[in-house]
Amino acid sequence: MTTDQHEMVAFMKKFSFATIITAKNGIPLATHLPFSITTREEQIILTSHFAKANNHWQDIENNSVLVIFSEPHAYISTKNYELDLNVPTWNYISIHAYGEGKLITDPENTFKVLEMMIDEYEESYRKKWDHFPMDYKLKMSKGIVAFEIGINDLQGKKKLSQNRTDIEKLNIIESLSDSEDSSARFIASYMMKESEK
Amino acid sequence: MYIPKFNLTTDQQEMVAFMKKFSFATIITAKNGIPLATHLPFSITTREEQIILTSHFAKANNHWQDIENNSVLVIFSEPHAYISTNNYDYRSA
Repeated sequence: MTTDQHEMVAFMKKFSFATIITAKNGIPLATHLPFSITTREEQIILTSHFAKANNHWQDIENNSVLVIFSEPHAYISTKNYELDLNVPTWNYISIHAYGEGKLITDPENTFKVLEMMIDEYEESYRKKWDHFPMDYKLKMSKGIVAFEIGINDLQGKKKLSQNRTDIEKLNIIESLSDSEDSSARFIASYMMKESEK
Repeated sequence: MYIPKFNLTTDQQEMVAFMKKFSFATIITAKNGIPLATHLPFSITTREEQIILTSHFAKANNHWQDIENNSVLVIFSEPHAYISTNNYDYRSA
């Protein structure tokens, strides 16, 4: 577990392509979206936009919204352990952010959300965007529904072999660092950071 | 899930191959309108043409109590990429 909000926000910003989930009549519904992560009076605010044709936007107000930020993960072989009598596991990091959704309907604030996202993901595109004709930008913004989620419960899980011996942790870091899988290498680097604490 | 027609895949073999390749998935249920998610590795098999996903929870994770008599969603996803407009032909804008 982690309760370090700085650390969690850094992770969310790094792995900002997340999954937004709500439930209707007990059935979960999920959409994959990129998010901007900001704070307002110490509350974490997640902003993004749905395609208007995706009805999911209709469910985020007056509803419990979960946004999952996760990405790096790795299978952990018992080869890394000191004793044979062991079982394998999976390491991963995941942040579950719960909050309340609010739709952003006016064009001015919709543009703000879009421009914040442009600045984060491709700053050089901002110049082009700024020179686009307003009728084009308005037309494009009519195809989306912008929204924000005010987070009221941030749950962080770092499953990084904290319960293993130092030698075992080193074995794991070494084997994952050599992996062809970038996800496994991320786990190795997060485990290294953890051991430096 | 919202799927535009040109993004839709209905090829079950292709989907199962993807699920097997990216088998560390997210299982989600909802109770009183609140979604709950756990990250687990899955085995993907078929039984009389139905896809069967098997895995296990830590017993200490109460989520296992919610999966019977309930709608269960398992999400397999992983590769993704930002697509810059630099890739586009301006004539199709």
